[in-house]
Amino acid sequence: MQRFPQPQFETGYVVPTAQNPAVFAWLPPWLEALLLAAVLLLAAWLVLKRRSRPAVVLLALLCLAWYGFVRHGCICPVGATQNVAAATAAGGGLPWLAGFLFAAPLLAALLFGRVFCASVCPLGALQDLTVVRPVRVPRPLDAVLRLGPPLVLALAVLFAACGAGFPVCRADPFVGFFRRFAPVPMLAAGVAVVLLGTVLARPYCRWFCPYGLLLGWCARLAWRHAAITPDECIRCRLCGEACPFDAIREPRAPAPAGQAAAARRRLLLTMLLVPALLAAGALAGRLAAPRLALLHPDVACEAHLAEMAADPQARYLDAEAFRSLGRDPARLAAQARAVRARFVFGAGLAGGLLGLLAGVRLVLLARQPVRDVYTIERSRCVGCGRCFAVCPRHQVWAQRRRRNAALQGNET
Amino acid sequence: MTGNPWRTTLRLCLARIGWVALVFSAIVAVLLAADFARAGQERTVRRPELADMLEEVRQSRADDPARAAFAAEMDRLARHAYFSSVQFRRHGIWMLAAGLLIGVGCLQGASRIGRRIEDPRRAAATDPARTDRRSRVAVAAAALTGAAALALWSAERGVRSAERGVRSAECGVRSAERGVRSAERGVRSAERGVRSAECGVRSAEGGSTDSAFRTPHSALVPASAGGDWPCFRGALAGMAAETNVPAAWDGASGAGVRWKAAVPPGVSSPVVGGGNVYVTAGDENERAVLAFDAATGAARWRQTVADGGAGEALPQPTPDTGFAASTPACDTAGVYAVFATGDLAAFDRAGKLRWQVYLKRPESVYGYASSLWAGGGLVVVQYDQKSGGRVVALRAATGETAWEQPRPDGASWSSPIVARAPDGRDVLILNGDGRVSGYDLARGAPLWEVEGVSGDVAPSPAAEGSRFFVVMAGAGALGFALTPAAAKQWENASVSPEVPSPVAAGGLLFVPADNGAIACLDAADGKPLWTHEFPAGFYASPIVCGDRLYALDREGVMHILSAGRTFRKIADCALGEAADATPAFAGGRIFIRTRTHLWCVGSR
Repeated sequence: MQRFPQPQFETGYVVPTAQNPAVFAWLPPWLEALLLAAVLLLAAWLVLKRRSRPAVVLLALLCLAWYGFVRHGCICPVGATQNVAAATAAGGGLPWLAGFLFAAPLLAALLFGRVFCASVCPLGALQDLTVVRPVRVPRPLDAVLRLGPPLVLALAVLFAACGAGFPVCRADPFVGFFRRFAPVPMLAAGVAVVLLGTVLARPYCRWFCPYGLLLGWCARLAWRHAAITPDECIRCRLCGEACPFDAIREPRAPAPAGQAAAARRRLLLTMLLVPALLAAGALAGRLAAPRLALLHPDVACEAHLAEMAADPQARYLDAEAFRSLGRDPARLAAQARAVRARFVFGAGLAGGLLGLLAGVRLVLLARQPVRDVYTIERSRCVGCGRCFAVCPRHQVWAQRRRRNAALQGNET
Repeated sequence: MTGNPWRTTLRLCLARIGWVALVFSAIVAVLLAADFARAGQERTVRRPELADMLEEVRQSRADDPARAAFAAEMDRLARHAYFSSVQFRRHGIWMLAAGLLIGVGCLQGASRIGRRIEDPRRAAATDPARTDRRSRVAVAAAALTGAAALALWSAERGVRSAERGVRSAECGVRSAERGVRSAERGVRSAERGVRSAECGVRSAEGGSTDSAFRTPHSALVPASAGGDWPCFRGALAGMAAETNVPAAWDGASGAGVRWKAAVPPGVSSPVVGGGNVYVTAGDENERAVLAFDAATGAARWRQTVADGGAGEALPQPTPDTGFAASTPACDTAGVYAVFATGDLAAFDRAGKLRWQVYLKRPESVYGYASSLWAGGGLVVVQYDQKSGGRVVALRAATGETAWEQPRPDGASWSSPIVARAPDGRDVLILNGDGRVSGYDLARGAPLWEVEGVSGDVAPSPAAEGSRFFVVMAGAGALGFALTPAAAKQWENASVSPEVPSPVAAGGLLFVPADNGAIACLDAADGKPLWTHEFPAGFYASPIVCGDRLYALDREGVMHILSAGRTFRKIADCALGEAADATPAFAGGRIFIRTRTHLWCVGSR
């Protein structure tokens, strides 16, 4: 809907009635669901069985074209997280396709790891295809930046559940490309993320994507997961160097006997820190709730009305519309009060969970797991296949497979 | 690798193409930013110079046509600039995306061709324990800093809020006067509440034990608080707020009848407000609003509504619809009435015309019959018709259009309800042919549309909690979740109402039908709980009053049932006159319009 004044003069032009465009759909919903399931299975096959990086890239290109530029990036599983949160808070009303889009990649992650990120997600595909010369981020900095997805997830669920909109969709830097129309700041953010992604691989996926966090949790429990090498690891270290996402952990010897007790003590102390972080998070969330609630239209309108009452020069469009419609301020105040109460509860809960998550991260970092070989960290691995491509054992396996296939072809 | 000249050439080509594409993207990005800065969509047509010129010309237009033409041309050019900007941006984003993808892709290819596999043995060894220690410190510091920053951010807002509070103090003084008046109203309201509570206790004592009516009607937004029964089916779409209503009367003997007054033809339902009972009446000669004293039945005033389309052919409604099928609405200021001629008029309590609006002749095969909804300073008209249908919200004070939205689905005879969505927004819910639509009551913006019931849709929606319901013969009953996008939860094809509207209460949905059946469905999943058939059919919509369901059949017999999960008849009360209008419940009395009379039953 165009928001500008109607023409001022009689010109014979008939102003068309504002229309709401129909929901874009090239395929019926059941076919959309079937297609997503098929693409997820294909991606799993390419990553786990075929172990082919070029095939993964090709599928990513196709999915970028379909889910990004044809379907305009909506509705996607990343945004569907908010649909699920809003419907849960409202006690129902989740469209089944949105539910499927949310659940299917998670189920695939439980079975095969993050194959959705590998080549189905258009946001991931766009970033993966534009990695030029990746730079390794220092691990301490990476550990801090990886607190981003839980924070975004908490805010997304909080806002969606409280009826304050879908912030992840508003902050999507790529949707401007997909729809070929966006405000300049959003477009600038998209360009910045793409350019940043040329040296810091998949910055959105690693440090922002809330759905990636959920997929990572599911991938930890995956039934079958991609392996670096098809048979044995020769500790050549090439895979660790090739992975731009720092998802491969190097072998690690047990701690020397004298340090084992100190390590146990450290782990215990870190575990004691968890409740403190939880409490700090919950308190901070509760304190921030009134300010966060200002992003809700009712609360914002109430605040703007108060500001306009105090300062006659102040002008706010929503407050002016409210006044001109003769709406009841008492009712608005009651609505705003209810929204604020929801925010106080929700932000406290979200803050507590964030604190808990930070504590759990600390505990995980305090462990000293022993590893004999290079190992994939499942929650971080997006199944891009770069480690296959550099693994010498994979090359031997691939040559053997090609030879066997040629022999079978000759026999037939 | 560099020894292969072909690979070297390819790498150089890719690298150069990549850089050229990136430079191209940068130029496009700069142009886009410049376009945004120079001619942002708001500024193009909202330039103060242009606005001043338009205002100036508007005032002196008659005197200087050449100047008016010049200003119109400027206005056109501004709009042309805006749409050019939109077009440029759309193309520019294509070019930017393509340039970025080509540029980055080519550089990636060049990088890959020129890449050597480093000898991993030369890479510096890392100390994982040390790295983990640093990571732990960083995460702990970031978490605690984040929490502290959040707390500080909130505290800063608190300080600003306090400053604003001081500035608002003056406003508070002004508000205090309003508060005193409000308090007086509150005292009166409390008195009514006490009376209502006493009656509720009495009702509970004699009520049904299986009644499911216990939960509040949280979803519905009451229509104007100024009326005791302000619109069709009352303020809560079929729910009466009071429970102390009579359960026994007889029209023939006059037992339980407080008064009755003769009324002219019309099938609209009565509404009650400010001590008046309002009904409308009309035929091809004149349309009128009548006010009766709610206490005595004495006629207070009668006002005819002038035909705004005088000279145009009158509509030809069917006899059972007539010219006055739409129920009026009332508020503290007076009453609003709409007729099948397209005339909407507002009168104050004394019968003085406040304003009148002509909505054009409705194209409706049976005759226009949707009722008005008034509340929040608005009067809402669902003006569904064969072509040019629309929903209009008028300012109750002046009759000016607050907002208007097209409704292209053809005629319907359903009436609006307003429910509060979980996000706190007041949603105007309209049932039409083929779909149910939700609009933001305040701004009129369409919020959602869901597939609904089809046909000559006359029953109005019902709502309770976080659900709303629509019914229609052929489609049955449909239950929807009142979420930001509205979603169908269930359907039950076993009910077949064509005229009367359902009512939801206590987790139950009561659906009357023209053939005399009343079905009770579970509002959560649409499962049928009971059905009972009465000998006469229903046109009037049933009303839930406390733990009772009042259903008035077409022969004027009020069937009083338990509004519970099992069928239980409490009483049948006959008036002896045919009735199609939905009764009004106010002040412990029931106002029933029959074909010829307006009845008031109740002892008080």
